[in-house]
Amino acid sequence: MPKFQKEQGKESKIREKQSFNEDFAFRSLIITTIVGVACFIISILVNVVEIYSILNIQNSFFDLIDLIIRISVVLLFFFFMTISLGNYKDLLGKPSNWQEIAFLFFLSIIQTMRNIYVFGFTVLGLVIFTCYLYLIQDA
Amino acid sequence: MFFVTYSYGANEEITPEFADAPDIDGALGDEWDFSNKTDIHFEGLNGILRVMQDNTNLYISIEFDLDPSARNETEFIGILISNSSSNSPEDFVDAKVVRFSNLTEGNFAYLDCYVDNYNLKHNDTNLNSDGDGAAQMYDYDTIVYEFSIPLGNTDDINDAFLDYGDKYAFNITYGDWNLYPGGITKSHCVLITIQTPLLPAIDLAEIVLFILSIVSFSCIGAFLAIYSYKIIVLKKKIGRLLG
Repeated sequence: MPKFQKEQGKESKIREKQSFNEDFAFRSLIITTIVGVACFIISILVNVVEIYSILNIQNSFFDLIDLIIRISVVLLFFFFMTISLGNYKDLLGKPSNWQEIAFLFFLSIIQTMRNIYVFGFTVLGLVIFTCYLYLIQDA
Repeated sequence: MFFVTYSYGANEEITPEFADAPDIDGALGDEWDFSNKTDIHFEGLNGILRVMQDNTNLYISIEFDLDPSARNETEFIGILISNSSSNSPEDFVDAKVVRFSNLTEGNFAYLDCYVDNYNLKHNDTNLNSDGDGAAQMYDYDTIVYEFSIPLGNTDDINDAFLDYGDKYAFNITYGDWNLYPGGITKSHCVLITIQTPLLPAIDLAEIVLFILSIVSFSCIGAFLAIYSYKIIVLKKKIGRLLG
């Protein structure tokens, strides 16, 4: 009887730990998805609506800031959506595959199609980030 | 002693061509190639008047040769602008002037003036003078004056309102500033019809790109919506599994 009670307690602890891990992964999934979607909305404002053109600011400093914001939001979108997708697949018990990363890469790239400079620098950033992801993964 | 003491019949009617804005520096470059060229005849002095415009400014250049002995160190060219096609002295309300303070050294100033009761007032009410002007001398006998005059409504009440599609009289006046207003020696009147602004050219590639980006962003939005829905379904599944 005592042995049975002890095994039951161990199982309960494992279950609690699993529940905690899944809660943590799920919370991370929700947060990264929300941030990713927020980056996407900002990307619409700066890359499609071109909010700086509407404000009609004729200044090379603001042009540079505009360029940096355009590139940053797309890179952040890719960054957070990659983490989100990783968490999602983790909760399903599968690892992310290269096709999914490539799909996110493509979704990021098409946001930059309206400006050649944004496109160029974003591609560079995405390539560096993807290489980093590839290199840090377990063999 | 009036500045606008007399005027001559406006013989030439000029319809300016549309062109890119030139640099107002007194140098006649290729930028003036598309201008409307007219020979003008001050009394005994022949010159070339070039006129062109863009959507916001009228550009005028005056080039003439004059024997060095007849030049004045403080000579000026003023463009008096009428508020209509009338060249009566009382109808001239605005003036843009480029005057030399030292012709030999090439020192000049652009003055955005206005005409009040036939008199030229030097200080326009707007501190940030509207328009621009410059002059440059070549070989001491050829001189080029260039002006940029804003079109449409300006903030300055003393500026002539050059409305699109209307015709206005412009009096080009040459003289010696130090002897002003008696130093005005020559003037010539032309009529210039301000052309209606060109509509911006439709860039087909830009439209296609815009439509493509709308479609692309809609697809990404749809993907994110489906993805969010899947997350909600997953949350429910996990909730059921963990009891």
